[in-house]
Amino acid sequence: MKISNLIIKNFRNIKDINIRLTNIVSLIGENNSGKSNILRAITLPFLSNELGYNNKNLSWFDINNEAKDLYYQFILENQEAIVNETLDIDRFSEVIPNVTVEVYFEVKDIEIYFVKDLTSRVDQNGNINYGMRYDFSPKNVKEVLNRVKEILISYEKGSRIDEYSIDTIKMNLLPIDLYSHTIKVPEKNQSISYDLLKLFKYTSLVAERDDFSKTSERLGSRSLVKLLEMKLDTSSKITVEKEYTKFFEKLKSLSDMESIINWQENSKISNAKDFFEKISILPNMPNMSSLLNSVKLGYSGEHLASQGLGYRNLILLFVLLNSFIEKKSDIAFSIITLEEPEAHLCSNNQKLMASYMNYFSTKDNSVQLFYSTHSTEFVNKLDFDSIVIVNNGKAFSLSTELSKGNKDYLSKNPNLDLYKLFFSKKCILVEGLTEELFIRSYFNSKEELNDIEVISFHKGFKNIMDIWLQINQGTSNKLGIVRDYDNQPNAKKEHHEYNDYKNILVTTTKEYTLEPEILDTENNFDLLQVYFNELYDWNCTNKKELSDKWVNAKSSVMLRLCKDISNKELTELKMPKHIQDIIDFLYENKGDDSASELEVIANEN
Amino acid sequence: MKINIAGAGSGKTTKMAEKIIDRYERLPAHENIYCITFTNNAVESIETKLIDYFGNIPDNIRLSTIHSFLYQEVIKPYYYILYNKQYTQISSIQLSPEPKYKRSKITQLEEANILHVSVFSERAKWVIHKKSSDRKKEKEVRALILEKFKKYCTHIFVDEAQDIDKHLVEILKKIDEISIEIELIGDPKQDLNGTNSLRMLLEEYEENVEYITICHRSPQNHLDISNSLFPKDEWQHSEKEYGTISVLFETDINILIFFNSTAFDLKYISEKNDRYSTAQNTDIDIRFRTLFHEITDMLNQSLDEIDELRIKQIAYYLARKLISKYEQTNNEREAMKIINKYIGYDKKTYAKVINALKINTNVDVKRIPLSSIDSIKGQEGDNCLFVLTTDLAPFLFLEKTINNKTKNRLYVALTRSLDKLTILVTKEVEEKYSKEFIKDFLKKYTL
Repeated sequence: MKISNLIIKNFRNIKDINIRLTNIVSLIGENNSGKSNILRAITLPFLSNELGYNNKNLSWFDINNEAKDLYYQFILENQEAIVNETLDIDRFSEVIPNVTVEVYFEVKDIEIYFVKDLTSRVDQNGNINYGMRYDFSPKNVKEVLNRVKEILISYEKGSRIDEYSIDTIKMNLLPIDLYSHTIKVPEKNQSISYDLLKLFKYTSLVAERDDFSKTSERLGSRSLVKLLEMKLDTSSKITVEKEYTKFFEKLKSLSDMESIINWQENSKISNAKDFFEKISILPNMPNMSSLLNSVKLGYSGEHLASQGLGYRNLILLFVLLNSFIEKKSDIAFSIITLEEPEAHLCSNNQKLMASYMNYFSTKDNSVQLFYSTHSTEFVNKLDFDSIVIVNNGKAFSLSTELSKGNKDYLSKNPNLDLYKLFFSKKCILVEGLTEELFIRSYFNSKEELNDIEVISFHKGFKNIMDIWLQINQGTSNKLGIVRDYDNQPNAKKEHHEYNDYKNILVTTTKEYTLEPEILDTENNFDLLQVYFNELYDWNCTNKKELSDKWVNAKSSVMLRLCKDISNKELTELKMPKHIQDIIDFLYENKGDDSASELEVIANEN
Repeated sequence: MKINIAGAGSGKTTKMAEKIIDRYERLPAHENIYCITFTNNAVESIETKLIDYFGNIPDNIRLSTIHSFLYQEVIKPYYYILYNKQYTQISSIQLSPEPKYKRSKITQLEEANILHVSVFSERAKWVIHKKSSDRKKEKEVRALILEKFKKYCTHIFVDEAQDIDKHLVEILKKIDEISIEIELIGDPKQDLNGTNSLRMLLEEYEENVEYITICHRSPQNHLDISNSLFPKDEWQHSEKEYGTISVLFETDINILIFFNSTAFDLKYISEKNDRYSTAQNTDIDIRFRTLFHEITDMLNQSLDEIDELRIKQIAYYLARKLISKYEQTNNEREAMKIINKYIGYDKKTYAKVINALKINTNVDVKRIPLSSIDSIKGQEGDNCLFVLTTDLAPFLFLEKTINNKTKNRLYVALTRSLDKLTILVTKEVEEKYSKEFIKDFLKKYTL
């Protein structure tokens, strides 16, 4: 079983996402993008594996700000109607922010029994959907409206509130004390019984886990103790208790404890003996988890506490994941959420951990693993379906956003850095390594340009632009794309349509390839004529001749040129216009108007 | 579909448990055996047998009453995706015997998303088999549901199969059709609701019927009487040759003295009459439930501002207070004063509440208390008393031979005793047939 679809609404910075998921889910994104919020949200419909921690009520701060702003705006605009009680309650219900987390399951035939009471609908493809929905909302909307009315009436003796004064009473206007949470079957709106709920558990490992095994006395991690305890069956527990009793008896006889409390001889009261005799020492067996707590984990004969953070983290993860490999009969499905598995791990241990996690995901164990990461080691290059890109409260699953061809391409380019591609402030995509090398070397020679990333990608940028646009809605990031013309006017036209977006600029070479284009730019021909002549004795008198020679030369020629540009030996060299346009674009504030102008220029090219 | 016909005292429960155990030993881990019975008692006795064998009930043997099966396994998971309606509660309040009122109450409950137990089998049939208004879409969704359903529900055993109603027959046939293994065990001779559904299934699935003719309870001469009512196929035989059968006539004795001085394990009659009562203490909570429901309804109408939980709290309190007041004063109008202020002048509501208050309270001190035959089904005793009334007599004397619930009642009455059976002939029966005829007719059994 696994969660195949996740919908989150109004939770912290997550306004509204709906993503498809696979067996293992890697969330990637910048700091503050919402990765941890997604990891937290997904646990809300489930019970915790940890004892005693199941608080699912949220706070005012957990409700999405945009949703709250809409609500406050509505109150501002409808103050009179609220006070006069003429407001349509349905309109009010619509704007009250609710937090919902909805998950849909993909189940194997043998698991259907567990989810039969979660049937929520038949979808367009004729499949039965099984789902759970966590909902944090006011029990009674009318009560909220009454509260708001009271506040408005009593505020400053009935004076109107405005957009400044509302700031001082925002918490009161959204009375969280009237909210409660429910876990129901979506659409059907039927509460899920505890008996069913307890078959679905989560285990959470947050990023702040450095305390694990820090002191030398304790194992240090509650979840680990619990896992140890789960592994002990009844007969082993009996053995433990028997052994403890034996241990106690031994202790008693060795220390002669009974005689320690033997005060009757010292008492002058005649019947003191009757009283004191009854005092005895009884075993006080600690409960199982305290016993297990006194176990220490070691590594290579040393206590774990004396190991570095990295090892402690690695061992914690291994032990945790390992305990889920075996299927438990009392749990139908578990999720594990894990923040930054790479924390404190050196690159070799990251590889070790990543390969273990991949192995884990292939196991049929009804466990779904969710993790956020900043490390490329943990982005599975062979399975882009598992990647969810998070940015600014939005999330995109590459399984649905990327075509198969594009995924295959990405897989074939294992060194492609998705982080750079999707999250760079300024990024240029080019079609080949030659272009990448050439542009990079130019940037190296100009300090002011070194914040531009250059990445080579395969032909056909449309899909990648679509994803990039989605991810970069509302960011100030910019993307430039340098295409080769390749005698394909239609492809050019289609790509250039993207210039309507003000954060993308696509340009295309006039010529078939890059070299003639370089020579055509300003004084480059003169400059390079001399350069090539000095180095390789080329005697070319016109651009055409030089261009052909250059195109057909060994790759080492280009490499050498790039090195020399990089080393500032050809500072006079200019970028061809289509590249220079992109550089200009990346550094200017492209307004709505100039977008069309630039498009015209680009098209002229 | 396999059908086992097992008469009274044949050890049905043991047989059923054996079959379940046998099937379980060969069951893949993800498949489930459902065992359906008609009463909680029957669930318990099969449970006991399984616990004796396994130590606990294995996870994939699922015992339930028919109601719980239909609701938990059929209606609750799937009704919504077919008919877009989800019930949030179930109810077993008392319904009026009048079909019109009964229907309107069920509709009223449904509007509040409450499903009454009496329509479980019909609704479950709509899910599994069909509803007359079904269109293409419903048919497609149903096919999907059945496909999922049979992935985990692979075997169904039904105990007391003579009690299945016409909707359940359709459900079981459909389930059989999609090749879920079904095995029924029951006795058409003990069909006291007169649904005749098991007999119909017997004819339809003729080649899969097995008769268990041994009877471990009644002696042979008792069985000779009961066998005389039915075709040879269904005759039972016993290892015990002889048990006492005595015939008494009401006209020969003083029944008050007789009943005071003679003890029986079971004493029963077809239906109560002017001399005998049949106390029906089957469900002591039904009055409270019905009252609670009616008061909740009433409060919902009169106090529309208060939240649901609070209304239930008040209704619960008022229902208890009403009952205790009524029991103290034995005057329902006096008791009703407690809630008059909520009712106002609404006569309809007043009638509903007061009727609910009076459920099951007609205790009769003058008549002799007996059990109804319907209520002692499944029970047995060494020493049993059967009061023969005019409805059953024609069947006993073979004047009537049609298979119906009255005849089945007679069968149940005759097959309760492990040893002694006393037949007390009422004066009406004696009037109709004469003492001589009766003595003579029963002579061959009493020898």
